[in-house]
Amino acid sequence: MRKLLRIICLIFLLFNILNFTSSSSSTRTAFCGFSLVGGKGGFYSSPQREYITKKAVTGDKSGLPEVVREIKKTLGFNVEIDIYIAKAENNCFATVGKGGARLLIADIDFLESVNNYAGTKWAAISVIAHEVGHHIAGFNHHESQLDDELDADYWSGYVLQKLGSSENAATKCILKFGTEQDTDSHPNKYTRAKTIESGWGDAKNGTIDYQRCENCKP
Amino acid sequence: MKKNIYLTVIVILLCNTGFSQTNCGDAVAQLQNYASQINQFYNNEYWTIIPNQRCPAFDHIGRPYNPVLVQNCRLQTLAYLNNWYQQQCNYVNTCYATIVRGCALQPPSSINRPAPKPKPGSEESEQIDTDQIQDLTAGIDEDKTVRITIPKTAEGFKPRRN
Repeated sequence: MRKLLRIICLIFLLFNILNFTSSSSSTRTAFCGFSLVGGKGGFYSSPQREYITKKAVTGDKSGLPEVVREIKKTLGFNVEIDIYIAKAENNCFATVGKGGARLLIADIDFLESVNNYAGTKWAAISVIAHEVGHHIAGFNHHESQLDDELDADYWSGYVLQKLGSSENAATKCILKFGTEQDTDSHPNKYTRAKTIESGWGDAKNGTIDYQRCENCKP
Repeated sequence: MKKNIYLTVIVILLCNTGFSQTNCGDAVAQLQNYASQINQFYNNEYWTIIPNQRCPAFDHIGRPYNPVLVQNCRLQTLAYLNNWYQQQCNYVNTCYATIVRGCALQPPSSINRPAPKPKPGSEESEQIDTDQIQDLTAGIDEDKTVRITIPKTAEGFKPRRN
């Protein structure tokens, strides 16, 4: 019994240290901000430090590689994406790493909370699809970062329809967590929801808006 | 006494920076202090040193440098900094796990922070899953996270709210 109590105490301290080491970053992209890439403010136009714990692999407990593989398969997007699991980041984002490696970094707890608060399990899928969408659409396709975000939203809606989501479920996340007004990095939630619906509708009708993609060909 | 010596040797060997603790509380405090310094250093570099000194946007008489070169310099320096920080995080977490393992061998009198007392009649502490404790003391609780899957229905399930 006493040993157990000691361990409880030490676990508590462990969390203190983990939180301490992983919370020093000063500002973070807002909830459902999805992408840190291409930020126009601050000193750097690249992601800030993220606390990545491990690379996700097929068969691990995160399930992310399977989800991403299914999304890529649905889109016919045959490009390798390395997936990493972050802790205590409250974020999910896409970026391009060293040597042009395509990366997707996700905090699983964050995705779970997105599901819980949006009230649908499609919410996390829409976030992941949005990030894969960035890799499809390109990160600097447009002059405005807001338009790059909308491209990713389009692909999110497109993918979710193909995977079996209702239109309502596809937009739940953004309508729950998006902002009322445009921000420096992201459009308002209504514009984003409309774009998701556009992608969802195109998928249903068997059409694709190729302008939403940097290197796609009809 | 023998256990204390054993613990000290383990921590010094594995942590490799001389956390010369006399008990678990001191060791943890030193590690926290170390982590604090790392974080302070990181933030200072991120917000001040790199943009203003290592890769400034303007020269000493106020003429702007080539913005592309400045940005490249900052990104490259930031990459080095992030790499270093990641190593430090790994080190701190590993070291902490080592201390935790070592402290489990110590007699209770050497722990400074009192453990929480169980409520009268509560069996809570008896129900702790030791497998979960192992996961936690490894520094990362990734094995306890949920699995993200594609829903099988159009609306997705309606999960319980927190």
